[in-house]
Amino acid sequence: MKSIAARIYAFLRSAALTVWLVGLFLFYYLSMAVWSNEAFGMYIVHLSSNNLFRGFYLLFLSNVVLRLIERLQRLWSTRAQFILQLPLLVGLLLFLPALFLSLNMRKTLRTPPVGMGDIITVPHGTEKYQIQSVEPALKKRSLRNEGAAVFDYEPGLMLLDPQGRTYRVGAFPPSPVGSTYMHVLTFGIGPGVELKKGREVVFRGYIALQLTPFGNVDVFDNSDLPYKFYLSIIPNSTIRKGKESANTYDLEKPRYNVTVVKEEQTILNGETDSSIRIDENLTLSFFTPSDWVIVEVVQDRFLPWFVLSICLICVGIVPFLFSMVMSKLRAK
Amino acid sequence: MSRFVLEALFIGAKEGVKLSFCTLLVFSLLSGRERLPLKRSVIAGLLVVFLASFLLLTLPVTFEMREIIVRMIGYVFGIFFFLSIGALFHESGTDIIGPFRSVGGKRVLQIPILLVLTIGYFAPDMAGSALFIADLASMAQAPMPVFLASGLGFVLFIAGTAALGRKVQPVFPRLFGLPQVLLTLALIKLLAGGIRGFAELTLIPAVQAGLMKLVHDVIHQTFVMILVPDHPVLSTTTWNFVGFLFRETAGLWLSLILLVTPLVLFVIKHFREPLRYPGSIDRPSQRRMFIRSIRDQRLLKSLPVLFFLAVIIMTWFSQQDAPGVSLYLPDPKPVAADGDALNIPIQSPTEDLRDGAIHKFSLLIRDEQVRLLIMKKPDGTLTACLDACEICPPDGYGQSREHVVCLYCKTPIPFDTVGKPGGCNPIPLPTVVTDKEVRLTMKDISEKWVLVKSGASKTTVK
Repeated sequence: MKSIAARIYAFLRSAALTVWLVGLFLFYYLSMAVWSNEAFGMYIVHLSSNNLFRGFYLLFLSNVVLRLIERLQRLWSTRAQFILQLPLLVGLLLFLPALFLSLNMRKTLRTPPVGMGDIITVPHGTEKYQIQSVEPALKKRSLRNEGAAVFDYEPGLMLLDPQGRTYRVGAFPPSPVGSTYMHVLTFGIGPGVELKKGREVVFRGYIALQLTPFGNVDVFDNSDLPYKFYLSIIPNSTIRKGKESANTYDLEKPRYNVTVVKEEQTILNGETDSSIRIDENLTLSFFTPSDWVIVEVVQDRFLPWFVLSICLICVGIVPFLFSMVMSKLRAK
Repeated sequence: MSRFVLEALFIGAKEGVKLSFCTLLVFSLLSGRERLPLKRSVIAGLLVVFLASFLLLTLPVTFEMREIIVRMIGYVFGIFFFLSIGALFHESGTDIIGPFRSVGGKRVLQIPILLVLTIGYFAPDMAGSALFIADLASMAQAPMPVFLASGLGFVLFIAGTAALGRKVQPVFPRLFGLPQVLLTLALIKLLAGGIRGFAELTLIPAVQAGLMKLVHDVIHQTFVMILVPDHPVLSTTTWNFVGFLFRETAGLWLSLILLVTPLVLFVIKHFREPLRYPGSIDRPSQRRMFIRSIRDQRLLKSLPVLFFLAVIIMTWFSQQDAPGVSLYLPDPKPVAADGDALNIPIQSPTEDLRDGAIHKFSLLIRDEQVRLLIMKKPDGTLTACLDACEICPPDGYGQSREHVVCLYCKTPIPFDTVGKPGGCNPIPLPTVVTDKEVRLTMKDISEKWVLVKSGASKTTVK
């Protein structure tokens, strides 16, 4: 019994097993890369869903962990080398299990476009957070030229939990909020829209549209009406100086290009910053738009370990190489 | 001599040199009467390859089949490279065969393995070159001289290399063990695996593109794991920091490191392996001689590896544009649709869409300028796309030597993947290519453009 255990242990810590498992991964990757374009992406998906892939990964994990621990034990006698190699080796020791656990245990929610006052409910949990405010990625009044970046700032939002605590969430890095990490994935402008049939208001509210970068066309419709409304934000004015020109945008009162399509026929194309008459009866009006964001909410206890492992690996590469060179020189 | 005949002669000569040198190399491993069945297995494999290549010329070959042949060449390079690394580590003391040693030594296994490896190694190159020569013959006014030139080049250089090889073959066993042979076969494939005549001699750009894709994917997946959003949302400072890893230079360096690290580790391990004397050597002078012979042997066996490393490092960056060389950015030419049809002539007095450069066109849809991009891919097909991708703002693309490059995020897109959807690739458009024009419909262009502008196409990425 003891000898069987010893043989299993010897097998698990052998360099040959590392070579075979790496070779197997390379064979898989090469074969997949020839016949499909997303070989590595597919591998990551398999790692979180396919038991065969999980099995091979766990075998590799135990092999590498045993070998790293043995290496650290060997290095203990030469303290300088131990210290120099420790960050990289510990980084690797953390990286492999953190990646596996993170991939398999992570719960993710991508909210629909949300704005001020909306509630974000954590996936598979009871935590709820209300959006107090959205920090826009665009200046409310701006002068933009041809090569301007899509956004002026990284967007963000302020959240409020039921106990009255507030959290600021930006785009990167993700912020810890309760048991989750949150960050803003994208930002947009939701025009305030009112559709009136005669004196009756058919619809009034904000519509989350992708109108950035300015000029982007997005579309919305209303189930009660046979129209499709294509919108884009156009400059409120254009300033020209010689050959140079720049556009001014006022996001408190943006100017829209509106195209209305009925049964594949364009029935109206016009520009407005207030309202536009579509037919004898129907009017489309705009009021001050609201900002919206899509938030990614992630429950992952292993994310800090994963990030820490990457930091340790990055930090540890140079001292590791230095230690290898030093040991070689000392051997000579 | 016409250009077609000259090119056919060159391809024939190249394949002849490759085939004879590789065969000599393999035969140097298989010397001795007891290994005759293995030699026969190699010869049988070569015969199968010849027959298959001739047979292929009689069959209708689609672009997809050509694409598969090109991919197979890269695949075989990868297989031989990794086999050689495994064998190198086995030779330098890491026993990776273990309990399979007794099975691996059996002829009944060795003969079919060698047959499969021979066919796998030579078949894609021979098939690709045969098809290219058939293309040259069809383009030339008289096809027969093209076939004769390629056959002549092939036979003459086989005979020449074989004659020369016999003189140097005795040196081979000192330089080449099994791992070195496998590595040299991989190197030959890398340097002479191109099958598009003068236009593409080596496989290096394809291997670079493959490795850079791996590096790019690993970085991308890591960013997804640590919750980095799409780059337009990030501040310029953050994107400048993380985007460094997506640049072509970073990809090239990282892929080079990926390729050479195992070989460097082998060389280090090979020379650091402790020397053990046989028990029968007890005199110090004999010991010194033994040590010297082992060291000489190690040095000689390392030479092919060092040569591989030197060639890779020297050629890796020479394939790329010199730093600072700007991208090719043609001005879009205005075109107008005829109703729903947009027909763009393949050849006009000012341009030819088949010249390998990107061609841009602009048209108005609802008073908005939409740009199209048309280019001839390495497989000879013309592809039309929007000059925009699913991820970035629609700044469009420029052209470098081996890639089209997204002007917003600088992601390099290999030519052969243009026309395929996804990621930062230009968004493909349904296209009909006739002998005179590229035919598109305004409906398709308009639908795709609306998706780009609305950001709806991003949902497919997410």
